[in-house]
Amino acid sequence: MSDVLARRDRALSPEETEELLRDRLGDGLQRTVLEYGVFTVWVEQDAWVQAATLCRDEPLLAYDMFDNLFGIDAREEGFDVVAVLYSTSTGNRIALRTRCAGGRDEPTCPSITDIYRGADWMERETWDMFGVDFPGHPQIGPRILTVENFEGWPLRKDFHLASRAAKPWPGVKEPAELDEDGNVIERVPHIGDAPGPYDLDKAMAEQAQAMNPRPELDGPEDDDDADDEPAEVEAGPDDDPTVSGAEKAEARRKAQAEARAKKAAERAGGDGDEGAAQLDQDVYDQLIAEGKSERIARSKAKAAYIKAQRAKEGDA
Amino acid sequence: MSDLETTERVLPSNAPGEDVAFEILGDGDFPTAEMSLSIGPAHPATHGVFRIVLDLDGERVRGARPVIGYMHRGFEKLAEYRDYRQIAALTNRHDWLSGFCNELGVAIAVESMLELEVPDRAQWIRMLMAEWNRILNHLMFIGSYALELGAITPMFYAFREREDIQHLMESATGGRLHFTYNQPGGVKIDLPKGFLKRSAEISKVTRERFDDYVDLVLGNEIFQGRTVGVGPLPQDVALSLGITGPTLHATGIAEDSRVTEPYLKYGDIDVEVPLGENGDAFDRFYVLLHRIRASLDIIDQIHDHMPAGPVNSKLPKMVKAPEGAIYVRTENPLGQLGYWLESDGGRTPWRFKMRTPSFSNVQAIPYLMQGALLPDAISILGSVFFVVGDIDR
Amino acid sequence: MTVLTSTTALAQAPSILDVGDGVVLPILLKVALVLGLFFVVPLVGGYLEHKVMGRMQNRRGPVEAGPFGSLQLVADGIKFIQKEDIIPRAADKPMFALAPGLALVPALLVFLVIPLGPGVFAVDLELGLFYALAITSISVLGILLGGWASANKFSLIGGLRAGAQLIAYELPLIITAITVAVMAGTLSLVGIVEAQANFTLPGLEGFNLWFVFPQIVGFAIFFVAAMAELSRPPFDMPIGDSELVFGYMTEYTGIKFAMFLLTEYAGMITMSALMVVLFLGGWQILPGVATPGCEGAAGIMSCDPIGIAISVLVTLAKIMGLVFLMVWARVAYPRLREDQLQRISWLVLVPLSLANLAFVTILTVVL
Repeated sequence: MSDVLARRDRALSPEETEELLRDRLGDGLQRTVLEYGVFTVWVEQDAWVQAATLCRDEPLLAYDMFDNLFGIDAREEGFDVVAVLYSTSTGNRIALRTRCAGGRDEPTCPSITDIYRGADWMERETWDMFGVDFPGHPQIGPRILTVENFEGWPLRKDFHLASRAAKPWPGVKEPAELDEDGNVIERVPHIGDAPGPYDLDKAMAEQAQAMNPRPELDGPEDDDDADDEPAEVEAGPDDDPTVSGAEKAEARRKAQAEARAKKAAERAGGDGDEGAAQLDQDVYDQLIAEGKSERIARSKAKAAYIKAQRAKEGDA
Repeated sequence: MSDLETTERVLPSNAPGEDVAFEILGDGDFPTAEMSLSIGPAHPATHGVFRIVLDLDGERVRGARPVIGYMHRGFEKLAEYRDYRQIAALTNRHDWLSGFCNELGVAIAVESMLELEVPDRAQWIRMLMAEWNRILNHLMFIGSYALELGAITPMFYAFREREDIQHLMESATGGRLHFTYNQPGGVKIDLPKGFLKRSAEISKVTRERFDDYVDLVLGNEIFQGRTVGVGPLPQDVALSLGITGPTLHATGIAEDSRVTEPYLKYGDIDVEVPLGENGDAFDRFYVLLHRIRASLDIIDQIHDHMPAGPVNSKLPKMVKAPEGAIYVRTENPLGQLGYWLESDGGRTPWRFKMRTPSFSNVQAIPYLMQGALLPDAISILGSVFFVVGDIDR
Repeated sequence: MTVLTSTTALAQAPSILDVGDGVVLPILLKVALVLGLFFVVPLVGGYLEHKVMGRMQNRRGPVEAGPFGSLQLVADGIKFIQKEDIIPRAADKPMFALAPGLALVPALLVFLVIPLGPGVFAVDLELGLFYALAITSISVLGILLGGWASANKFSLIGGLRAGAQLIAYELPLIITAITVAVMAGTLSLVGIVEAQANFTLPGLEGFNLWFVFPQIVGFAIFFVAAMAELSRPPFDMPIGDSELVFGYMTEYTGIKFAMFLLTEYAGMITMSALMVVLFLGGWQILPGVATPGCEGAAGIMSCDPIGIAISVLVTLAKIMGLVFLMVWARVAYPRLREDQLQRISWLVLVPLSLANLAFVTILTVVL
């Protein structure tokens, strides 16, 4: 066993492995995927334990090392469980993948802790993160990573990341948030933005907003970021979480991005009345024409304007 | 354990060759009760917030239950809300002692999915940094493991070397712990002038001082008395648990991603994998210590290979991995780190699973501690080499 | 108390502090000597430990408090006094409060009999060695008590380990001390110093030797046993900070914690002083060398003030040398395991010291 890669030259190719597994598992094997060097074998739920046992005990396969086990959100179809196995003698790796029975409501997957000891904590983690139950596991609870009284299954896609739902991205820009033209969408953070998920945070945010009124007016249509995003969270769980997954998130992000772009435009326009006098319009136009972002253009134009003013005063 | 008329064979905690079958004789009139001792979450031996509940019969450990999750930061969820370039800043935080090696996995995964060409120089620089980071990590554990056994001095010497190496890495990356030096397509910026010269100097000095550690710690009689034969791990158990890194190498299995599935340019150079024999605490430490020397050998080879050229390639404005899944395994200082990156074609990963070495390795603790003495339990706890952030993520 | 009241009956050599005819002044002077020794010498030992450890570990040790950081331990003491004195709710409060005192007072009482120079001691008991060994073992009662009363599992294990350690190491310690007493023919500490100054081996007449030379095995046993009894690394299992947090001291804070620490440092000094007296010739500069300004049999007794000063300095230097060795061991070695420690004691040290005693006794009787 300790001869690492002793059988590298006799290692089965993915095709041969598939043939062997299909021979032993029959219909239990659904399909195989080979992408980016990862050989994934989709098996039926019923063949899960058999497949794992086969992988360990079959001398031609000899997947003796347990590498990994985790869940993946499979949208409306429920959840997948993936087990990654490795053979120290042949150097092959295989990913067994199965779709949990029970859909999104009560996902279950048979435990393979009897076959690989290392699956113990991995399955506990999968249960903790996705709520996938593993019948046959010696002791699935208490929750291994989250606190004991934690509610919900954090890695499910319908579990919203509270901080991201309650407050806008604390940086200047969202991760790679671009508008249609490929320009980075920018926002200027304001005092009172970004309240946390707690009541106290919100109260403090409101207080801060009251003490530092924003430059633009709060018209009925002119919702600001801090207000409309929590509203979306409320709406979130009400939607059917299963249908959309990524598309929905995508759509929401797009909508937010549009709203922000609109507001930025308004803000620029609104400031125009009083603020335009403080900008060097030529510099601004030139920078915009060069494809610089609006914020940079504004700040540079402002600097140019102030410089010009100083020069004027100096002459006087 | 009120039955005192038993003959106990006390196994894992004694040096091999010593006859340790204690015969406890008595009429059973002196019953003892088990005591459960909660070590942690804040305890000097756990260096972090890790808790282990021991069932003690006197000083003998009857059972050990690790309790983890005190430092769970939800990196896998956070990664689903960040784009592929930003994930590097998350990954260098789960195992804070090997930030660079962690980033490497993400960068390789994204590059493979995007089919990005990475310049040669960038790959060699990555290897150089990864090996220095490995030494940094191992030095830390040499110090802390000796500290757990009651020897305070090695820590200070380990930090002397660490300081040099951190200065070196800081000069190129700007970071001492969280480097964030990798990006898909290469590294952030080229090495500063004179870096390789300085690197060669430090490599030479560290190699000279390496013998001090062997003398000070490995050759110490009490150290040997405390570690030889303590917590032996059989090969099949280690593989079944998915244990990797020094803990696996100590059992005599030379499974190292750098050798068995070379990534970057590890295929072009000789990588030595130090091996143990018995898989006990002494072997684990022996392997850890000698991995420093092996890494220094690799560093010297990298110095000879370092080509000129660009260090990064142009990225598209928006990094979007195509649909599909990839599993990248890199040899982290503490074991094999696996990243399963599944993309639905969007800007952020659909699923980003971190298979961290500490999580798997710590699973061995209940097995190893069974029947050990309390001081040996600490010796075992330290010898498995884990970082709490790497367990909890 | 009998000990104190009957000093005159048991005293061998007069102390230089027995000045005048009164009773009050000598007592005051002696109290001053013992307290001064107790509070100053351990601080010097502690400072030495800080500095030596620092230098051995590639750092500088304390530098800020006082010249070269020499007042660091004083500053620590002041800090400890200011700290809140926390008593755990579940603790047995009277016992918890009593324990540090019970550990500290014996460490103080040992200084009563330790001779620093000719006549520089509070009292020279005929049973001085017996007294010193008996008193030092009381300290562990305070440790056991503290471990039990803290109502903390770590403390309890630490206290029990300390108890087990004391039983194991008291035996070789005492047997070795008896061996020396047999060689010297007295239990008085001053008498032992004097005996060493006159000691020669048969066949080497006229060539003075300290007991450490014929008794190198005994010295090694005594040194190891003393370190174990003091719970100094590598025998610090009762404290074992990586396993037991801080052993029996885990729940102690403030001044009580400082009292335990002071006990440890004072113990280092008293054990070193005992070793100096038993093996290293007391205040004699070198074997066979008379101290300047002294007269008497071996040239080390009945000294003038300069001779006394030199003698005291020689003793202190020897004590600090031994403290240095203890610190060196602490820097160089990891901690032993409790069962390994017991094995060393019962399987190595006790048989060895018994054989040593038998050998010496037979030789003494025969020669």
